Amino acid sequence: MPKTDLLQGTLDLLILKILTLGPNHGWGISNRIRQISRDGLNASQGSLYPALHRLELNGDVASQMTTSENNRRARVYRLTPAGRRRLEGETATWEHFALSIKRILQAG
Amino acid sequence: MLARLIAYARGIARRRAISSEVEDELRFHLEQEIEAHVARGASPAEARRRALRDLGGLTQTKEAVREVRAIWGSGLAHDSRLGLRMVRKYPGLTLAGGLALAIAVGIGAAWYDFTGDLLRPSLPFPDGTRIVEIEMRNPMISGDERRVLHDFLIWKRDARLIGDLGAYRTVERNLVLGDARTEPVTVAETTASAFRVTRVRPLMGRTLLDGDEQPGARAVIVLGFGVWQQQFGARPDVIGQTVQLGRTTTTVVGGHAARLRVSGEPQAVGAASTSTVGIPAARGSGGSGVRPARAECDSSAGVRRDHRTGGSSDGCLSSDARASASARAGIRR
Repeated sequence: MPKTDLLQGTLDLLILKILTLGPNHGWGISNRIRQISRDGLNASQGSLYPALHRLELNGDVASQMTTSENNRRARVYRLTPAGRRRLEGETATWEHFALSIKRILQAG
Repeated sequence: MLARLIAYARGIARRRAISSEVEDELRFHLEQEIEAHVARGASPAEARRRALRDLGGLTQTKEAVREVRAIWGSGLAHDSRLGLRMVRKYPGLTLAGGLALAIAVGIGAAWYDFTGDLLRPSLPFPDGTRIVEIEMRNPMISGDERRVLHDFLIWKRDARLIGDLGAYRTVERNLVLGDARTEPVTVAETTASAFRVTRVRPLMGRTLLDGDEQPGARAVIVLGFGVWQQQFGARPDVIGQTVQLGRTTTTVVGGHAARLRVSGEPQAVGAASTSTVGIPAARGSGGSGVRPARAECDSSAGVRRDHRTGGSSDGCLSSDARASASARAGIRR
């Protein structure tokens, strides 16, 4: 299946959802999106990192610089309570949107 | 909001550190990606080339991240600078403007509160704001659709977000007293759950129980405060007595305080015919009542639901109760 670029506005939702699985760094989040979507979705790094920093400034995620086993410095992101609330709201909105589109496509 | 302010303050305080951390972060990403490509069989040079291609350019990504932070910072900084400049240049005007704004907000809040009480009053029950009334409207006749029993039963069975659901209607009945006097009273025939919705405790005896709704149960009545005082002389031994309500002989099982008023009807006395409760009230005794929030429903939708689940009421309410449930339903959210 060809990889699909994310629809505008959906990247934040996916990042927040991935972080419900546990704290992760940017590369891990990107990998998770690829894995869970079975290579169907591709979060380009050019949009992933600005999105992560935007989410942090919004208070939806918090981050901390850590040092990995092989002495590399990585920033690990985790979901905040505000981010969890936002995820709940955006999930409901997205489900409603997706259902509406599906209904139209299946009409007739 | 607090989380956002903290995040913003941290971002400002650590602006320089974050800039170098972004470089570390992207380098980490690049190295992880190279390792992943190597693990899949690519040569180190090819892996690096692919990783850089996928990353979309390190410099561009760094610039995009800085832009995000700069937009945030510049917006607030710009607003703050402008505010301070205005205070310095026009202190009187700024103070007057701020005060006017504060007063306007206060007046607006007070007006909203006042009109809210008038237009959407809360019921005088515990958590009265959480009680709403549902009425079925028939747009074809611009009037109430009173055949909502099946909908009521479906709502009661399926609703997950409400605490309880009750239904009632008001009818006129003749109350025949012991000395053969006949007093016309307004009776509210309700489901037992209506008392749970309002959380009204009886002044004496008990309110209605679910068992009173069962087929074959004896007819019972809960007296309202006004009728208990006027028609029964406030006698404490009224519990257990039988009274004639229309053509039905009912047993008084309780009495409740005068404050139980429903939807603008006169103040009530409780009376239950077979498996229903009535809430009769002395005629002409006034009582403004409180009209709770209403939600109007499309009656045709109700009928369709009714047809899909036809017959679901059997065994739940007796015939009298079925009639009683047809008027209105009050729910506690």
